[in-house]
Amino acid sequence: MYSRPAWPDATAVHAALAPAHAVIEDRRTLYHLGHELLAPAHEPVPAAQLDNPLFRFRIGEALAGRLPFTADVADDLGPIATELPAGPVPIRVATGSAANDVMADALRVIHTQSLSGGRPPRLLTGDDEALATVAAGLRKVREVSPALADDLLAHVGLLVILDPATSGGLISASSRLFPGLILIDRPSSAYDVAEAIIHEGAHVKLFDFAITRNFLGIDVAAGRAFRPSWSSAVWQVEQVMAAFHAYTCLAQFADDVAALGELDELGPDSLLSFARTRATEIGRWLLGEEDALEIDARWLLHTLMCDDSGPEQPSPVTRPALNGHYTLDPLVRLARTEATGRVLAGRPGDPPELHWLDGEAAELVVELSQAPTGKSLSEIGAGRAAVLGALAEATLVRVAPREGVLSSSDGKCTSEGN
Amino acid sequence: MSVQWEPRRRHEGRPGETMVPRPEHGNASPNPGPGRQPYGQPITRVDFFRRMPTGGTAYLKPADSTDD
Repeated sequence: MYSRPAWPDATAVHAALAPAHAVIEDRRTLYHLGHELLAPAHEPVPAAQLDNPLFRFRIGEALAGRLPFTADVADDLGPIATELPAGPVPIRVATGSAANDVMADALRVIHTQSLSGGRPPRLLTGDDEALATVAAGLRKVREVSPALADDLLAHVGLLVILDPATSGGLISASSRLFPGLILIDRPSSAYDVAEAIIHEGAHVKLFDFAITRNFLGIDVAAGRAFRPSWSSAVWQVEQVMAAFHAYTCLAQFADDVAALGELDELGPDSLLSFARTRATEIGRWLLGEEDALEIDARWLLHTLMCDDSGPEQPSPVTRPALNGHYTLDPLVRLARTEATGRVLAGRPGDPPELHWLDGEAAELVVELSQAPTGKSLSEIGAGRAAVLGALAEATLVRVAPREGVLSSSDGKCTSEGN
Repeated sequence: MSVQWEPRRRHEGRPGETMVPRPEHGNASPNPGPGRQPYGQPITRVDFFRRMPTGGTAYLKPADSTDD
């Protein structure tokens, strides 16, 4: 099953989970509501700030409970960024003279994460030749794999070029703490840039899936480790999934480069000739550990591996729904996205709590939000008892019990305690 | 944590797009496409910020890096 001659188009597979524009709208909704919960006294941030990796760092760390949220930080990228054409959405490249000051904390954090010695890297600014190579790389990646390029570039919030004297041998990188940020060493060719865009773009896209879809069950993934045959590295499950996804996208790009007859233009550090083999090795391991992934990630894995055997549809979960009166938790705030109709429910706290709601769950919380006194189970309808039970279990809705328990699996009433 | 209950297809405006063979370069043979569409879940708690490894991904010279 792993050696089928044709592989799915990663762009179409991504879109089957959610088109890029929908993922990005969901993501912006998340950061907007996250900011509202973390800084309720502050004005909403401008739309551009929602895509800023430095702003996303502050929100993400606060939502993780690792750092308190700090408002009023001067991390606007506008003054330091040059916008380069890259299809539907231009790409911001940090080029301004103040870029090193604005990015200093981020580079220090990333450098600390990498556990490498020495001083943090510095950005290359004012280098017109490097910027021209980046622009050529953006044209190249869209020339070679237009759909895949646009699919990934949509998730890139900022590209930075590192001063090669300080980059410590880095070719390209991204950081989960600064989602949307891509770092590259000073490029030698358009293909250096193009490959980095595919490689790191795949990582930043996967991050956006992970915060907007049902992806990672780390609680069961703890302790599992993958050791790739080509490296001494040891990866956790999330890293394995990220590497699988990146190599899959690189393999598709490699096919497209080959089809153009341009393989000889690749640099000595290119991963393209290994990409499919590595993706397959990683994917096989992941298929054996897929219970560590949640349903959307399992589906992505099986689909990209051309494995028609799974994942299996989850079994219905039966929960009792009390025959009572239901109200939305008054602390919960709702935000609905236009592209998908999904609802993001947020509750203040330390850290705040966020839940994505789909389909009937989304409709039901909206109904309850418009019914200040709540609704009875009979008003809600026995047909929605299962989703109601799930919302109650997530404590997004509250119930004042009355007589009887409605089984969410069959809609039949039974006595409480049965 | 994600709360599971009876699975259903997602909102029709988002998923469920038909898989198509790759029309671009490469992959000359027909694309089989996925056999199934995503199932989706009605409630998904946003836990990734807390659960994710706090590192990043870096491609270094030489290729034997700690990441990918």
